[in-house]
Amino acid sequence: MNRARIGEIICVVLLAVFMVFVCNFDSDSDKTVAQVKKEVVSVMNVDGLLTDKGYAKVKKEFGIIKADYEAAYYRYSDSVMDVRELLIVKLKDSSQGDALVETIESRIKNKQILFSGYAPQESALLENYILKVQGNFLIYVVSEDAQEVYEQFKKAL
Amino acid sequence: MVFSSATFLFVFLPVTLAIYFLPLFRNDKTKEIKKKNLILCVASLIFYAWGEPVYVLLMLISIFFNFSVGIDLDMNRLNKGKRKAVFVFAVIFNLFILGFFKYSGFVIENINNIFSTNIVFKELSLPVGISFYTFQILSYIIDVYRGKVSTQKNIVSFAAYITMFPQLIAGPIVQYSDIEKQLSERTITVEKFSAGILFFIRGLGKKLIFANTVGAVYTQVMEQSTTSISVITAWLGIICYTLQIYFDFSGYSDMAIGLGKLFGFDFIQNFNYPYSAKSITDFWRRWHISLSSWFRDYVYIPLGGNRKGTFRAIINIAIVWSLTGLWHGAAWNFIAWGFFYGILLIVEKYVLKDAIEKIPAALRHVLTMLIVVIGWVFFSSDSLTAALNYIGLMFGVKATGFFDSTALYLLRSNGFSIAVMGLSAFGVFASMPKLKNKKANIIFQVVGYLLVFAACIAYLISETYNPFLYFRF
Repeated sequence: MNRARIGEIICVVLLAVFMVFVCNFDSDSDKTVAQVKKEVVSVMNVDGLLTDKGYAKVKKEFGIIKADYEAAYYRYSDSVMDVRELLIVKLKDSSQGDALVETIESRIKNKQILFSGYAPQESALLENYILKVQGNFLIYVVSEDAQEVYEQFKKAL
Repeated sequence: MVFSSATFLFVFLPVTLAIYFLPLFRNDKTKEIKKKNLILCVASLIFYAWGEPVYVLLMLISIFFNFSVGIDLDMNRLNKGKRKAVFVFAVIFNLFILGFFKYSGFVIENINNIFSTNIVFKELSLPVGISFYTFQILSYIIDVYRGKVSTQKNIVSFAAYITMFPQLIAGPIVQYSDIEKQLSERTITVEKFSAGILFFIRGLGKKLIFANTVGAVYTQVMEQSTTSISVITAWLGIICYTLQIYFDFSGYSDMAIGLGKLFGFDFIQNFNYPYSAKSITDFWRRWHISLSSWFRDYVYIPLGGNRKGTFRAIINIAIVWSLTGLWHGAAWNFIAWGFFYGILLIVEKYVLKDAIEKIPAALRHVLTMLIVVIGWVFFSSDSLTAALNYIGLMFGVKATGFFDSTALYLLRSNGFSIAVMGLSAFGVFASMPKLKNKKANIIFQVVGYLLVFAACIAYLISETYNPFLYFRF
């Protein structure tokens, strides 16, 4: 086997190792929820949104119990006509993500049914929600700035 | 690191140039060029690692792999079977890297949507410039395989070609055959260096003064809810994006070409006043020329081009333009954008060819721009649905009237600058007659460029974050 061929094989192996590394590298973040939310909130219009300080609201809306997760941050409006909200959760284990995604998705569907037909502006926001699990973090956002917020979230991790 | 940042302008570039021009090996031109390539390569890796500390490893793997492939192809030049196998493997390897990092999420998401499956995938951040440098690598591999260029046997020169920081992040896509000779032999004259500075300042001005200004108007429009926007506001928004993307991308290309000249390289022109085009075909001869040339040379012509009859040519155009759309992004709106142009080019070439030539030039220009502006809606939107909704607004569907206070405010506050930028993009200022006195002309240019540079510095101080739109590709 010639040296060039050996070089190619080494590079294929290195690429495989790199891909495994990147997948894991990208998956878990050491950042705290407080650090991430600080970055995220800087690009989102949170005027008029309340902060859930005692996990009561986040438990009521999403069934998130403080002991089950590393931490969570939730901004919401107390006006029934304002659908904007932001949820950032640091998972204890990335496998928790799937169950939480299901819960949130079913909640969104109910909200969409509720608003469709009579509140087109709110309905449009709900249609463009972002719900993503990035390693050990989950973000759910309903906002005019949803895409921008998500980009900032990725940068913050 | 971006060109339009203080770190680049006042630290990275001066230090790199100072080391690059260190008077070593003056009497040995071969050694001198090797030293220059090494410095350029190291500086480029630092430039890339500045924003992509992890993905610089991917780039290094890619460099070593493709360098080895080049040698392998050369060693097997008499064994056609082996040579073909190495070539096919190399193309698959490079496309696999691009596909994995750029398209895997998109593919899995669509599989999940279509088949209601729940395949879990991790969204990876896109390695900056991967689409550009993969295409450069492929140009090398394909040209070596075809025998158009000889194998590069110096890994530093090869790495310098792939990593060259002036055009690494957002092009122009430099084909290896265009730069092969320059890697081993290039001269840097005072004239070339001066031209490089002028190109760079022009690009910086386009980006910081024009693109950022008009981009802010577009952002203002986008911040409006899509249910409270008038027809004129919608048009104003997308016209601003039309100007923004031109000045942003052509500004980057000018800076890249200028930087290339500072280091002794001549890159191909990437833009030639595309908004002065009088047909879609003409537009694509003037817009992102290096990408169109790449697809022409490495996809369209190998597929048969127009040599195998009209039907096959139409299929080939459709393939090329779907790929062009996909190259820009892993999203349906980009594929739709590519397909949109594919269909238009087919119609223009095979259906309306004679009819178009009978239309007055001014009207042809207006129609072309109308299509281009609508095309940018697909490009700028987050999704295909958002794009179609926005096009609806432009034609009154769900718009809040024809004209509103937002449109009036935007026109009053930005109308003049938009008009000036429009004329500039059209090439009006470039075609203005020069002063007859050569000396006065030079003084006029120098003062003009100094003023533009000073304005750019002022912008840099107030606006510290200046990403380029094409970085995401």
